[in-house]
Amino acid sequence: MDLNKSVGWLPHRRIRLASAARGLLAVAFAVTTLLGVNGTASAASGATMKVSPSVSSIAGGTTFTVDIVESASVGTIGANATLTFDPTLVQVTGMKAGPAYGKGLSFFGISFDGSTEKAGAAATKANQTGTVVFEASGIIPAGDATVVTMTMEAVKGPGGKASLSLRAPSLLDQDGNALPITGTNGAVTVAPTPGVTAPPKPSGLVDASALPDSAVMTLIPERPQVAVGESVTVEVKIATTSTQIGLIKASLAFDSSLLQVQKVEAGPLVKGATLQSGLTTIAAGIDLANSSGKLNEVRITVPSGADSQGMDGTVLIITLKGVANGTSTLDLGAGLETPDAGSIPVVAQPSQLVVGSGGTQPDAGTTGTDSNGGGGGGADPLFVALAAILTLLALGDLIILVLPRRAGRQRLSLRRWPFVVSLALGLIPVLMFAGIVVIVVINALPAVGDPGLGSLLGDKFIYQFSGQGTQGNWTWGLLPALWGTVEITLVAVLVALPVSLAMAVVSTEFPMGPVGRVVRPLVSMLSGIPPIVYAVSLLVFVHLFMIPKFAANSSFNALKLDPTTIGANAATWPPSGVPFDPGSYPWGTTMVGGNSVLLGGILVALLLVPFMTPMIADAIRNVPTSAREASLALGANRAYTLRRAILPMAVPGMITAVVLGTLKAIGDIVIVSLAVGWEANSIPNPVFDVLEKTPSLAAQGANMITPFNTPGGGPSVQPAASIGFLTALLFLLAAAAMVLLMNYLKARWRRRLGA
Amino acid sequence: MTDSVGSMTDAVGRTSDADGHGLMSRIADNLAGRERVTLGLPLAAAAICAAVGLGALFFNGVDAASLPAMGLLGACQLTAVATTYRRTASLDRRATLLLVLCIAATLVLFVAPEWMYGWNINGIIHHSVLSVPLLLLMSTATAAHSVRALMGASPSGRDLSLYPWLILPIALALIAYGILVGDIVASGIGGLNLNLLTTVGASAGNGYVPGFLNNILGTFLLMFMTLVIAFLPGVGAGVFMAEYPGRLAGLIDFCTQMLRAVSMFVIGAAAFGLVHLLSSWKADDLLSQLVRGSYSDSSGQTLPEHGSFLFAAVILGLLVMPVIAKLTEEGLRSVPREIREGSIALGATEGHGLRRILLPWAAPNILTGLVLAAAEANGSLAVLVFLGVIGEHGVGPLSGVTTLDYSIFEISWGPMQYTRVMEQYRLTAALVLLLLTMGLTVLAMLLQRRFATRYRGSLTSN
Amino acid sequence: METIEVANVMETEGLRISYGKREVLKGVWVPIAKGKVTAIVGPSGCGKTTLLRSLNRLTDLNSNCKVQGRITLDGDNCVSMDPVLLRRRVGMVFQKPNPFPMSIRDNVLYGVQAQGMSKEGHDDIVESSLRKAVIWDEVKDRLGHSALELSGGQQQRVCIARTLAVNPEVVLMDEPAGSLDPRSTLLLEESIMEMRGQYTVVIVTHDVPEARRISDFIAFMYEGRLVEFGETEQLFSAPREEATRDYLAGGLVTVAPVAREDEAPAA
Repeated sequence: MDLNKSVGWLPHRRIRLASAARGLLAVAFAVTTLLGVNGTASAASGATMKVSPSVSSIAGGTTFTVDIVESASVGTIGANATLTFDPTLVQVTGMKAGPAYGKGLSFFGISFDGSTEKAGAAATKANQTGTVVFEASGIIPAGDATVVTMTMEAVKGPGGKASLSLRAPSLLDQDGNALPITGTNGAVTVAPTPGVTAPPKPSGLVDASALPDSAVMTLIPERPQVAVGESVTVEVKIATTSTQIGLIKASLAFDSSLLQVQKVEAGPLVKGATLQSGLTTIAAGIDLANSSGKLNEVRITVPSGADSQGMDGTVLIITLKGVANGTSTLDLGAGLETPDAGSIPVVAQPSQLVVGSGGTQPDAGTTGTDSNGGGGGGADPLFVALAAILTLLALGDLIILVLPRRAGRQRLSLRRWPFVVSLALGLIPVLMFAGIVVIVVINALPAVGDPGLGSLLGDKFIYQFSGQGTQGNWTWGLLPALWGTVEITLVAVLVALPVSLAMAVVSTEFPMGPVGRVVRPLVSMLSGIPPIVYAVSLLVFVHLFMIPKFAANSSFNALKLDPTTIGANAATWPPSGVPFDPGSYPWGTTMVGGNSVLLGGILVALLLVPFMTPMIADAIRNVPTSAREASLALGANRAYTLRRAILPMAVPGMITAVVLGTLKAIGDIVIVSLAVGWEANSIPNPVFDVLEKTPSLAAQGANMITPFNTPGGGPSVQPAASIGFLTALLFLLAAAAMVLLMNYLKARWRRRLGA
Repeated sequence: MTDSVGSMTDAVGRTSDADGHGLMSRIADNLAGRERVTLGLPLAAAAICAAVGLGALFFNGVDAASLPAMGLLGACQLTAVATTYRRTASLDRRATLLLVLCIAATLVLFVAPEWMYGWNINGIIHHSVLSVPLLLLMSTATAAHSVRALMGASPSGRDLSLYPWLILPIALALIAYGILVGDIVASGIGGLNLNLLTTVGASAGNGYVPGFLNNILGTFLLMFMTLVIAFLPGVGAGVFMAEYPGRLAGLIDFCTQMLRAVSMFVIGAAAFGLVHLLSSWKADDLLSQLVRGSYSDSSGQTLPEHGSFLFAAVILGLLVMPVIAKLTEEGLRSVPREIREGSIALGATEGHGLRRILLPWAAPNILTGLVLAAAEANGSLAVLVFLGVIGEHGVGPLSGVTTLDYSIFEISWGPMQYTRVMEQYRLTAALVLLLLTMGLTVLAMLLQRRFATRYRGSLTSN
Repeated sequence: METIEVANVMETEGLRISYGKREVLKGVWVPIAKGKVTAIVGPSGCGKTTLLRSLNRLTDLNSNCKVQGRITLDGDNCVSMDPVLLRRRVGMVFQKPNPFPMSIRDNVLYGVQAQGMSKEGHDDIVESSLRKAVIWDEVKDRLGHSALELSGGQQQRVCIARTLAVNPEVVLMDEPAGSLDPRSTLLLEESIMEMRGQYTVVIVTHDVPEARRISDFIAFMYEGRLVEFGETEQLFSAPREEATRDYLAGGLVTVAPVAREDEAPAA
């Protein structure tokens, strides 16, 4: 109903003012929220690990418990330390993991089911060495958590003060970075028991003083203030007596709206050491830092000999440039490792820099939660929600304001509600789509820098499942996966289209009696088969068709096939270059899936048919009956009618079916990954070999993105995750192109028909 | 959606209902008895060839008969060609072409060895891979031609001769689907027991107690929540596109098309990125709880999952909104102009007309949209791959999202502790899932029929 | 010619309507007398349907349509009025019966509910409207049944009832008997006669005898212009224009009438 034209709109002045006010308010909110949402430095302030005995003094022969409690202001995933005690004064009788750590506890490297109290061998070893080395892992929210509860027994004897000291405590945040941690020791006084002599010192007693010392790292800016546009250097210094430092890790959190990192170089103390940021290059780390506000752990491999007398000096020089007025805290995250990856406790001290006049403080109110590393700081969600609602309201108002005034005054202004409501609802998909595009683009952008578009166009891909992939030599060529997608989709559409067409024609124009009556409901029911079922049924197809027809029965030799009977020369069999391991290639009987584009393509085709058939059938049905009747009345038979009168008018619908079907195939290939694998390593040779394993871009992309969401994910799985998102971006662009093409073709065809 | 075509009077004036019947009576009258036989021979031979072809598809042994079958076909076709030649003293082009093809095919089948290799293809190929397509194609072509010849090449005859071509792909597809479903039923039915369906699967010690209850409930919950979320925006968008065409409607149309066109993978990836952006690993802020979902473990601590039902439903809702929108739009467009004008002429406002006339009229379409949306949501495993969990910790809007098909996926790719125990139930789960979705589909079909008659009466057929 | 003392409830002044480049009405002055039946007649393409549809601004539905000139209803300017309010005062019955897929009762009450009129007395409204449409006796026992079950003629009368239920001042009818059989046509004409006096009726028809039977005034149009307007009997017995005479006699116009677009009709 085009009541647009007849129903005018004349908002009262008051309504207009209200709209304008709402709009301004929304804009204001949006702006302040955006300003607040940036990589504000987190207060990843100090964490502690504390030894808490349940008593402070105790008589010999009685038991007590000692809790080792960690406390941090961010979530953590691992805690470890060495607890030292004097076994002549107290003995360990049992250990229990704290509730949060559950099953993730191990002592002396022995994994430990934390549900029992006795620890058997671990306790024995503890009492022999006077140390308890424990490692705990788990997903621990911020706050306090008990890591270990030890049950100890005071020894009868002369008694004394038993100190329970923590050496080398360490706590990891959810990105795997070490938090700056201070340890607090505990002590228990054991009362002397008269008449009992001191027990002998156990032979395996470890000299506590030989345990690694702690260290202190500090941040020293060149000067406390920097003007906007100026640069300043910040030195990361270390002071430690330890001589066993193999790796220095330093991360810096800062306010990226006020400061930007320009350069990171090794300090004089470790001159010549190679630097890495997380697992990527320094350059990538700097880019990430400047958008997220966190320079991820810079790893400095300490040259040997640099720590021969302890270390005291500058290990890292970071150059920062001021970009906006404000005060930025500089938080240092530090970690030290021995050459054999043992950790050394280190205390890191933060600092701060004032930029320009030091104007507004970063608004702690609007950025409530701590940074999570990786994808950018979190904003206060309530704020964001409020801003979003107001923006939507303002948008609605704007539209109403902009509507031209039409003839005919209207007294009942509320009458416009269908327009407004349906517009508001209809804009939801628009906003969502925009949001999707934004998210994918943002997450894909890092891949453009690293590893760079050039290497992405390569034709070799080595990652987790390739067998040869170790972190160092991952290569990221995407062409094989692209080719896999093209091949599978082509096979699928070419197989599905004739079947769909036949089924659609049979349901509409050529019912063929009982056949038509069966086909129509059947197709409806087939559309109810969920895709996973297709994937699961793979095995049966492999057994039924692939194995009998494309390889000899499980053992080539068992069949005693003489190579000469198949025209091969005994001397040249098996053919070189063909990895023809008789009996196990290409179809191993114990493998879950065969690897073949042909099979994958056919499965996807089976998936597509119930999808495309109703579309084509509807397109045919929507052709007005008058066309059919006129043609038949002129003496044409049904085939001719179909071909010349009906199909031409149904072409737009068929175009939709084909294009949407193709797009669906590309996406649903993920399901079929069970058949064709998750990683495309290289372009098959020859290119048209449909029996070769050639997985698709989607599956590969999915595989690369998934670790993103696990603890310890985040930047440590770059650039894989970015590349995965880049894959998604490619799809998006391809889909947009195809949709636009489809609309264009449809419009052009309709114009040709003169409709 | 009446099927008026099948019972329509055909151009010749004879009413034909199901075209298979009355076949014999339609054979051209001018053919002598013997000619009928010789022209019909290729039809019989084609049937044999098709049978052999299908047999060889499944059993390599049957392939031995492929050569004689093809030869037989050629021979019969030869007699047919001869018959036509005797009658008209000229060679029928089509028949001769078919004959040549038959002979060529026979030669090819004769020359090819039982196992072929070469062309750098990484494998060896059995003879049947060649013979089955040849047999099926040639038998279809010959059957079509034979039918046509028997009908005396009349227009109806030409229609009939299309049938073999239509039947071939449909039959092959139905066979494939039959194998698929049959396998699931046969293999899955063994493990089917009530216990499995009503137990909540959970980790126990180092193993796993098998049970799909949570997954089944999760499937329903997710479908329901998705529909609830997608319903209003979908219908709203559809109404806007149908009633207020223009630039804005074009924009909305494009975006909804795009949401449908981009694969689940893109939406899943975006969802993923969103989860990572919005929430952190501590599950204690509201947004994280909403987005990731959480559960309380035995010590009362709240721990996060990968993605909540709520979030997954929002994401899936995005995916299915376009379906609902498109069908709503179609339904609204199908309202006859007279009805619209009638409402306007009575002084009803837009809103009143929408509420009382237009939307009820479009209700069957909207319902179809909801049904299709449910089916698509059900099948969108790709999104869940990123967000899903096994579902040990209960089912609710803020629990970790899990569905039956996700659990099947986990059985193939999940952690050892889980797969060791659940591997045997993989096909059973698939069977249960299949039954569930089939049931829903049938229910939907019945509902659609009921709605259509209720709201549209017999005014105009649609 | 004596002037007849009638009040005009509606009037058009210099009405010009074009669809795109095609001018369909080229300046029309037509008065509609209150409580009387006015018939608009003329050969196909003369613009009578367009004229009728402009009276309740159904022409607005077509975005190509441009309307110039004045239309007044009781002195109010129709073009600048809220069209929804206009249509509550000017109702329309269409050529092809278009009952809604609802019960008869709901059909009749549709307009009443749409306009938010009184919530009581619905039963009385239904009965009186159906009586005026001369169909009460046929349907009084099945008010709850779907209106689509009725025959074409019955449906049309239900549509009339529906239009009358909202008490419009003017009822427009666009060839209402166009798709009906003779018997239904008679019943229809009966209902139109019932309406006279209480309602003003404007009816477009190509059935000249019917116009003679039921109308008080006739407007004869040709090629977008009003050729002649006057009392029915007057036009049949002593038309001024030759074209009028030809058309009313046999339906064929042989002599094109003289263009008189800018002249108001002789009062």
